[in-house]
Amino acid sequence: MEINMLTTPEQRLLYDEQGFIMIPSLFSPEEVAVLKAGMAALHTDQRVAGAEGRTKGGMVVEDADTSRLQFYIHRGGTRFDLLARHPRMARIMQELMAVPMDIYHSKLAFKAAFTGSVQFWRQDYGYWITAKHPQPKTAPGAPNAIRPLYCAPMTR
Amino acid sequence: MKADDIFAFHNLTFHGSLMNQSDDIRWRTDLPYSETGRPLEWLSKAGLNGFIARSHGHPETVESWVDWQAKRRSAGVKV
Repeated sequence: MEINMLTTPEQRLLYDEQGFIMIPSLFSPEEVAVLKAGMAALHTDQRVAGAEGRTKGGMVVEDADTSRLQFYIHRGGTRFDLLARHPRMARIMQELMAVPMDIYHSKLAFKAAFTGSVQFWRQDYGYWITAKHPQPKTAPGAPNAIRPLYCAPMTR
Repeated sequence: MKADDIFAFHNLTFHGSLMNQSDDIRWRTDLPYSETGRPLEWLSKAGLNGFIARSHGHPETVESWVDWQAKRRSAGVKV
C-alpha cells in the first residue's frame, strides 16, 4: 500500500537492485542542529578518560586521548536514541527491509580533520556471518543507515 | 554527502569512505537495523539484545532503550 509510505516504488526497486540508496536532506538543518546539541549527553570526554588510552568501554581511542569510535549511542535516552527510532528514519528503513526490525548496536565515528584516513572498500557480511546469519542468498535485508554529521572538532 | 543526508545500504553492499580533507572532524552515525528475531548472536549472548525500533503492525511495541531496559529489569532479566 502506497498510502503514507515515505519511499517511492522507484527508491525501493533501486535499493533491491543495487543494494543502496541515498536519501538527501531527510532532516532539516534545524533538526541536525538539535542532534549536534545533544552530543554532550553522550559523555564522550568522560568515556575517553575512562578508557585510559585503550580501546575499551565502548570507545575506540587513538593517541591516548582522541575518540575515534563510540559504540551503543542508540541507548540511554539521548537524542541519538531518538534518532534511531525517529519516525522518518525507522519508517524508511522498515520500508526498505519490508520486515519488522530491531536495532542491536550503533556507533558514532569521528574522522580526523585534514588527514582523516581512508576506509577501504569492505562488506559488512563478514561481520554478520560471524553471528551465523544465513548465507548471502537468504540473508535478510539489513540496511545500515549512515548519517554524516559535520561539526566542530572533537580532538583533544 | 551533506550533514542531513542518509545513505542506506544492505549489509552485502561494498562500501568505504574517502579521506576527510576538511578542517573539521567528520562525524558519522551508523545505525544497523536487523530483522526482528534475528539478533546478532554474539551481542545476544553478551546480553545485549536489541529492542524494537519500529513495528508497523504493532506500533504500541515501539519503546525507548530506557523503557526496554526497565521492562527487562522488572521481569528479572539481566540487563
